[in-house]
Amino acid sequence: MRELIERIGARFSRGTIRYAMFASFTVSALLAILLTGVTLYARFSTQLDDTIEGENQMLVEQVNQSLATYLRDMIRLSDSIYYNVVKNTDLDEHSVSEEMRLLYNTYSDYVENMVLFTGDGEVVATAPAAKLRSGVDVRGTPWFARAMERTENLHFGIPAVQNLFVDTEHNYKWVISLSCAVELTRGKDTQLGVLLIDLKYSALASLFSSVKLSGSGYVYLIDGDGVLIYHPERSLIASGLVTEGNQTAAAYRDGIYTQTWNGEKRSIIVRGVGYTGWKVVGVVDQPGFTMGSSQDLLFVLVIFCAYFELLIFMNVLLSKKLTDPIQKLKESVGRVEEGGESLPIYVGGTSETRELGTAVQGMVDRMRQLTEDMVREHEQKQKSELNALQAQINPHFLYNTLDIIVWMIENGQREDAVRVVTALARFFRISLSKGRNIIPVKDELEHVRNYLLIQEMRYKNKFRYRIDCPAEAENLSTIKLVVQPIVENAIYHSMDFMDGDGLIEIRAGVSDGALSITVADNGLGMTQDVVESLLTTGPESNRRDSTKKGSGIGLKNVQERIRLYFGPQYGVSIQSEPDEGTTVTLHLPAVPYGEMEDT
Amino acid sequence: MGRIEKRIFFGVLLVLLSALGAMLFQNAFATDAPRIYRVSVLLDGAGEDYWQSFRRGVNQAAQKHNVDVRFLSRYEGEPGPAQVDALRGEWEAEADGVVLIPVDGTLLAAGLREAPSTLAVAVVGPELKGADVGCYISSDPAEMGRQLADAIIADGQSACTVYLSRGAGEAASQRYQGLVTRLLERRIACEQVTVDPEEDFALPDGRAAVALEPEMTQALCQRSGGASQVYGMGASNQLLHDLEEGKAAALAVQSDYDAGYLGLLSVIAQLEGERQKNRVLESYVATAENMFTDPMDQILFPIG
Repeated sequence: MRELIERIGARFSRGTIRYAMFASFTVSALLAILLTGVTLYARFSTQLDDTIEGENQMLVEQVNQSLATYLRDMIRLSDSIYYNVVKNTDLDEHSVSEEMRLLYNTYSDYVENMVLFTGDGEVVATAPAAKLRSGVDVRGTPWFARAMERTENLHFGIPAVQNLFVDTEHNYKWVISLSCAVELTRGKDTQLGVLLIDLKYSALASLFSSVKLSGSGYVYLIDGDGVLIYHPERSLIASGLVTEGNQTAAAYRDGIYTQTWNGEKRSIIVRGVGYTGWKVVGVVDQPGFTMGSSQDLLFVLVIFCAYFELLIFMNVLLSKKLTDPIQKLKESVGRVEEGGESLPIYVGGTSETRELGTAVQGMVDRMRQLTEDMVREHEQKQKSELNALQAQINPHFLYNTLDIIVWMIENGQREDAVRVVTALARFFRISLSKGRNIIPVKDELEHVRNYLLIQEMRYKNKFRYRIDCPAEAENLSTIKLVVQPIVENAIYHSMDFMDGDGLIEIRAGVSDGALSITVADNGLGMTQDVVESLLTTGPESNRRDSTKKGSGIGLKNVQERIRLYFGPQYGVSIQSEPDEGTTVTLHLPAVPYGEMEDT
Repeated sequence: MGRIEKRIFFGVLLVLLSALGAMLFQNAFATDAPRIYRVSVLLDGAGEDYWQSFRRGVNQAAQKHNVDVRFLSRYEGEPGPAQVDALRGEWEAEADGVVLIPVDGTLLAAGLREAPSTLAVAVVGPELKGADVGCYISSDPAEMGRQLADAIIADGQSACTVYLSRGAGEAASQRYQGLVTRLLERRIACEQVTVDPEEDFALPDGRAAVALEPEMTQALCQRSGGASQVYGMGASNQLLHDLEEGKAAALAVQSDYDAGYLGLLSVIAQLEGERQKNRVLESYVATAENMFTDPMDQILFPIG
């Protein structure tokens, strides 16, 4: 059980917030429904119990009232016979039979016989007329003895089969004897006698037999000792087929009691009957609103399921409403995490999720800014490094140039020396360019021209050169010192081996919004493998080749500088054929000089 | 809606629809009216007097369990075959069950073999050989004979004559065995006379006259001079009157009320699908002294 709870708890905590909310809402709502249901059930059940109990009590009370009325009528009959008929009537002179018969006729529905006995047990009068069976001595009967012992009282007996009179039909009738002592007058003497009224058992039984308490409840009647006077199953009780708690009930005072009988709980309602000491006892199966029938169970199941479905539906809507903004926020954060830095963070839903989204958006913006700053700084650093590297003047170039100038001066070639010195000055002036990195194309080409002029002098006219720049390209922007390294490569790797017929052509052009600067030579050319290796980037190739001549480090620097300034779509391309020459093209955007930020 | 939510939703929806279907099915086919069984009680054709208490017991059970009861007490022609015809008529009239007090056990057993298997049957009396009967309700005949012998012994009788009718059945024979065994144990002389109740015969002087059938007991009481020498069986009002008047010394009785009550209960239980065990009724000896005392008065004169 504990493991199960832990497993459910673990699943619950690992699940989505929506699932957790759905489960929490559903469980708590179910508990609420169940508790409400149980509470209402208990409440209504109790109310129903009370109502049923009240109705049962009322029924028992009504039976009690009916019985009391019946008994009062019988007592009145007894009094009427005694005070109106027997008392003060001289039995020697007058018979009371006629008056008794008249009264009997009035009460014949309730009375089986009325008999007046002397104290010796002799019959004085009967109604209706009847003959005492021979050999019967009534003095030994309980009703006669009680009447003679307690003369001031009326005595109700228990049901018995009447066997006092001769009955030619051989009918045996159940009666309840009502007896009392009476004063008989004979002449001047008075003596005690006994008046017996045999009440029809069926009349008394009819007061009870039609009464039905709730369920299979019933009513019975006992005397003060617990002897059954009426019971719907009296004969079955006598033979032991049915049992009854009449002896227990005899000990009860008026009230309602709970009794366990034959393993089942039942309520016992006890009401005492005035004067007689009898008790009316109502027996009711423990009342209560129960789910006994399958129809009730199905009804409860349908109601429960309907509520549950509604609950699920409402919970789904609610949890969706609450968790959708969180889900959207999560998804947008996920997209940003996957690289969509420019995508916005979701801001919506409740105030908490909106605040969370705004905070995340701020965080992402700051991260983005930091990243851009870092990239910019890195690029700037890289540009600076490359620019510095590019700006370094090969000391050999400077030494050789100065050597040429010295040689020219010593040989009296003053004008040539002036030309070289002038070219060198211009070369350095443009190299510096007041610290700018972006210069017009015409300046860059002028810088190359000066460089070529010096190199032409140095290489004693081993090659010629031609620079061609249309007017539309002259004032476009270019990075400083990107052409010179290419030209330098052409001289060192191609022209050095030429015998005066070398040609370097530099051509600028504008096409489709792009600027191209081409450096073509008719030198040795290269194989395709060499061409490919020249522009291959990576630390491994750099390390491998940077130590030897023709490593292509200058070319790569040019390539990287162009891309750093203008983007990866620009750069350097090389076409070369062995023994035919090489053409290196610089691809740049056609941006008018001055419109581009110089960084 | 997520996967788990869908599963729960459709699971509960399935239960809801099933329960609704079951409710509709119940409303369409079930009826609120309680089932009222039709049960017929086929008596043995003897006088009404013999079966008053039995009928009361049947009626008590019928009232309690809401059963429509039909009594058949008289048959036209020979009672044995007529009872079988009446039985056939009842199952053809689609009675749910029958309570039988056999007239001719052999004929009735043959008749029951043709009865539909759905007919619930309870027999009040001895076993019907070869018949498929759900439940037998009867007193122990040998025990009744022994109890009657005890009453004879208690009265100090020294000899007795036992009267058996020519058509005495199995139950009477078993009672006879019980009676004679107990009397011989006490060395009381006992002779047996076979005679029909309607025949002309006189009771022996100085000997107890014993009958083991109600009709024979009645015949002996009619011939009794009031010397309380008759010991017999039965609890008809006439016999009880004879007991009260002293013509009969003691009567071995069973509670016919209980027999009727249990007989109908057994049929109802069979119709409800319950298996029933045979029931053996308690037997008693009624005398003039105890017949109006509790509980004998309620056994002899049941209220209901």
